[in-house]
Amino acid sequence: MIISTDSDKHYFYHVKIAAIILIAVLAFYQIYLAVIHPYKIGWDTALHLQAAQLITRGKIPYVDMLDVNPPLIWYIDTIPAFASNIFNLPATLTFSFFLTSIIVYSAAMSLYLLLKSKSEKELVFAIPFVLGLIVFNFFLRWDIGQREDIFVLLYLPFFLLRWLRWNYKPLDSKPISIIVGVIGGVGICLKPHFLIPSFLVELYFLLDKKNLKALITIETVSAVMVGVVYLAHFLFVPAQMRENYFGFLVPAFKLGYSFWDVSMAQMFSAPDKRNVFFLMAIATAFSLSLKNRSTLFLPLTVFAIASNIPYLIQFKGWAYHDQPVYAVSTILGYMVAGYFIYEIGKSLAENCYVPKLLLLYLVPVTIAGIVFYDAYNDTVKVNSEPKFSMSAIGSTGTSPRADLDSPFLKYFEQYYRKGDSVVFMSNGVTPGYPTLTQLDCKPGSRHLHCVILSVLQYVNNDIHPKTKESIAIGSKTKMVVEQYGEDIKNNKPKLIFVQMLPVEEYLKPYNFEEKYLTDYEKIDEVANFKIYLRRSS
Amino acid sequence: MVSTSTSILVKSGKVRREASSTQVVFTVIPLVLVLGAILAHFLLHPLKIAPQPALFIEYGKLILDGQQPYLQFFDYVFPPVMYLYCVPNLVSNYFSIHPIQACNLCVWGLLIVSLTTSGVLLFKSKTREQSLSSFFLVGFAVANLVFIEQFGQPHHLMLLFCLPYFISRVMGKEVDIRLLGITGFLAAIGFCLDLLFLVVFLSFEILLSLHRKTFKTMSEVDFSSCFVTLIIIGILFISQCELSGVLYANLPFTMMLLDYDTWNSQMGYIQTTPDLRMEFYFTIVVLSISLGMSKWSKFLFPLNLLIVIGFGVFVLQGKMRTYQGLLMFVPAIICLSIICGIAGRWLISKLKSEYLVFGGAFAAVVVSGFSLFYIYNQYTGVEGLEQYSLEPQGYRGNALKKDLSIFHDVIEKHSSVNEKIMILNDQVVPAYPLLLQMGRKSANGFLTARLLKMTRRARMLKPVETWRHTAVSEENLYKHLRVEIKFKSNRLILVNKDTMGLVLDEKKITPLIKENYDLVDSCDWYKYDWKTIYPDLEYLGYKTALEVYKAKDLNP
Repeated sequence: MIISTDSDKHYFYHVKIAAIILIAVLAFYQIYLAVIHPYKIGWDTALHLQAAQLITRGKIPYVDMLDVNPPLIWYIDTIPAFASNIFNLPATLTFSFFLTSIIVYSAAMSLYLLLKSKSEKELVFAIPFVLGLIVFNFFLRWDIGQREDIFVLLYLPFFLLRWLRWNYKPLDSKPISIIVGVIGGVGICLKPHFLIPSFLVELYFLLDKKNLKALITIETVSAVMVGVVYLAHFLFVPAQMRENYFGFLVPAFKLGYSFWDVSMAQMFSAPDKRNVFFLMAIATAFSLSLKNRSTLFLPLTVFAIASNIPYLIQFKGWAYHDQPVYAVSTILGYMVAGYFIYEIGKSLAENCYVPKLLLLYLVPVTIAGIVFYDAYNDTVKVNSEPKFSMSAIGSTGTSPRADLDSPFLKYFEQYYRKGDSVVFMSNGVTPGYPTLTQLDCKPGSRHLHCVILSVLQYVNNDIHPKTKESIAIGSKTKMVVEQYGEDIKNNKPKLIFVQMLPVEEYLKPYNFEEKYLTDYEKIDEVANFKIYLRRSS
Repeated sequence: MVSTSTSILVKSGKVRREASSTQVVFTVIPLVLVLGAILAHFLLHPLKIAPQPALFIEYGKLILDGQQPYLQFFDYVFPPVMYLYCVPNLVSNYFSIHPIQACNLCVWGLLIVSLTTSGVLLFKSKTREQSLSSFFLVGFAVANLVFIEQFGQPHHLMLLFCLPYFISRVMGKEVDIRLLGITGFLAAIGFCLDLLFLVVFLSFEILLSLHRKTFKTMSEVDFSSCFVTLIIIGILFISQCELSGVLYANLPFTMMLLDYDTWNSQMGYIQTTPDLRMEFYFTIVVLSISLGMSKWSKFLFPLNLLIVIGFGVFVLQGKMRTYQGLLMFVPAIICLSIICGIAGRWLISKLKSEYLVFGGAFAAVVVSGFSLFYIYNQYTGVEGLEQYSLEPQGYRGNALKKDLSIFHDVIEKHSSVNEKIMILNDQVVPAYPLLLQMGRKSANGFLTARLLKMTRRARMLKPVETWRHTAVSEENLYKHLRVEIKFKSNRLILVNKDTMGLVLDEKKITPLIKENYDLVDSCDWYKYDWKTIYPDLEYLGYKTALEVYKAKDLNP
């Protein structure tokens, strides 16, 4: 039913105000958290941020810094990296602000598009949708800001615009359609896997509405154009970058990424993972039952369920890989809960004469109360925790020590000074990251981590039968080790951290320590790492 | 764009009271052939059975012998399924056929009952979507053929018993109430086979009521019949098997719940649980399409709901065995069949609606052809293969030697028919179906040692209040086990040191075994090319060898 009466319009106006208050309250909370935790960041996010910082300093991806991830996230992260340079703020802090702005964009645009339907039945779900969209971010802990998170935030307004077009009338504003389309396209292009849920959602709409014309619209063309431009840009990048990425890293990871594969049970039923899938099962089951109450339920269900495909394709069981499942299940959960609360509220308003607007404004007031309570608790906790002063490494600022969660912090305090470079030879992004980004350390090698060594090891030992390609890729181990050696010789990093298992095993055949670490003294062994300090210092 | 709620299907459909005879024929022919293909498979492979049903057959046999569950034999299986498996044992005794074959034939019979009941419900219901009923039934039959290795698993049985119920809950408003009553009764048997199925039942009903915005659905005949039967089954169990019930409530029930709540860390690494990615991709894509087409057919809603509930149940069980995913995969196959039906009908209606009959014939021919090809393949595939006589076990006929489970050579070498063998492992495999296939008797009480493993895991991982009340029952288990070993009731004891070593060492069972038994052999998975010879083998954790001990004074 379309909102038409004055009373409906009045209520509609207040829903909008209540939702805006809600977004503002939660955005301020996010900013406040960023300010009291200026250095808090997750490991992958920190890696991408450092890669972006290096780009802002003129380095070329896959030439001056090597990592397998597609470069789009680095290009996006240049925004907080530039902001950090301009405002002289920690990059981690500008990243948090940047992420907050993405959340606010996503929530505000979603609200705008939801209200554009002007449908009474969809209006019920506007606030729960927006609330779920913001709130899931607070539960991501160290994984906030991962590409999966950003994908959901950038894609959902695009999803809503598509929903609006398929179910109601298209948006009048072409500029907004283009902006939402471009931003959605950027979100989808962050990882090729994200094409799958996006495609299945479009397929759902197509089957549901049987209107081929709605596939080619301003926003879809804009999104596709982003993909085309992104692909085309590889033609214009330096040849060495293209060669290293498509000629070495992509084929190597295509063959050897299975090194970290786990079992199906680990993917779905491990105690630290299964709650997400329980949430999905419950939320989608209720959504199916409530499908007649809102046209949003089924496409969101498709998105939640289809997002399991990228999670399964990657087959690593890493918690952030299922963030789209979690995010959309949370939104669905909020919509289902919102529906029941709305029904109870409606009954209260009708039977107990409680004013409707009072009940409506109770939502932002309650959320504001929870936010204030949490903010107060966070403040007390931060004040009571030990601090790390950046002056210890020749920089400025302080951070709760827990945010720089690293067993190697004391070695940085003791030996590292701002401007020095450091090498972390670890077959995972962590524990080198987030520490290197948090302390703004210059990477001492083009290899930001040595994940590639495990990949090559897998290609050499676990791929049977051998093919020409696998032999060629596997033989690159020597090249990688030599590149490390060359970088150490040229950059003279102050500290080198070498993972004992398995990395040291990979290096043994090349006499790495004898050949390249002669200027270094082993000062300690901590948490499966040998720590080397440059002798001259 | 504002959508119209009237689908092409409905526009082109005709209101009918019942299915036409042509449609019935086009449904029955492929169904008969698919059923024939399934039957041919089990006649040619009389010893093929999944591990769990083989274990349940053994439980059924013990119950028929007068033993009581949880008192004389120990496991944490929900009791009704043990009693249900008395049926194949009765059939086996009556016709002198191997219990495995009897079981497969019983399940096949149940499949016919399920399809017939579903068929009557669908063909009698007054719906514009009558043409899709055929696709529903054929899809379900084909799903049974696709998952033929899971025949007789509890989840499979549940689907067989409950499918007519799921149909009647959505379609059965104008059907004879006697049929609805039967549907509810059958469903109750299916739902009581596992505690989780009761969760499926409740979830389905609550979500259906929510969908229809009324709880009046719970006053319908099929629901009432199902609910009352469930209560009667509960009362019967409590009144007739009081001691078993008390014992079950004390230890096995707690352990069954804890099994859902604890994590076996051995299952974390690659290939330590079955890899069902392809099945998942299939289910997700089909579900996405099915949701898109949900307006086209009301058959799709209960199936979609089942897939989603099935996914939750699958995650909760946490072992990733194929049969545990049947609640998702089978409805997905039915959905696909219906989607094909809708697509075919839509395409034909675009051409000329008079061709619809040819469309139905074409679909029937495709499925029939596939079934005939399957039967032909089965026959040619067994020609010239080595036979395994069932006569020493007292049954008629032969089986194929290649159908025997892994380690059959070790068992054959060290024991004879009817001798008792104890296999101490934390899962049903490799004990079952091996022992049942080879006519070896199970150890008194311990057909599987998973209850022992679970009690220890509970003690290690859970707070004392969770398992304190089970301590005495646990000690009784070990007393029973010690007696069993001391008196050398078993010819062989097979021990998986990797999974059971800590459990047996802690309670000083290992020295007792060594005192009374000699280590004579080992069952090494890697001695066989198990991936090729036993492609359907689903084993959790690492495939570590089992030690084979033989009773001392029985040694040659």
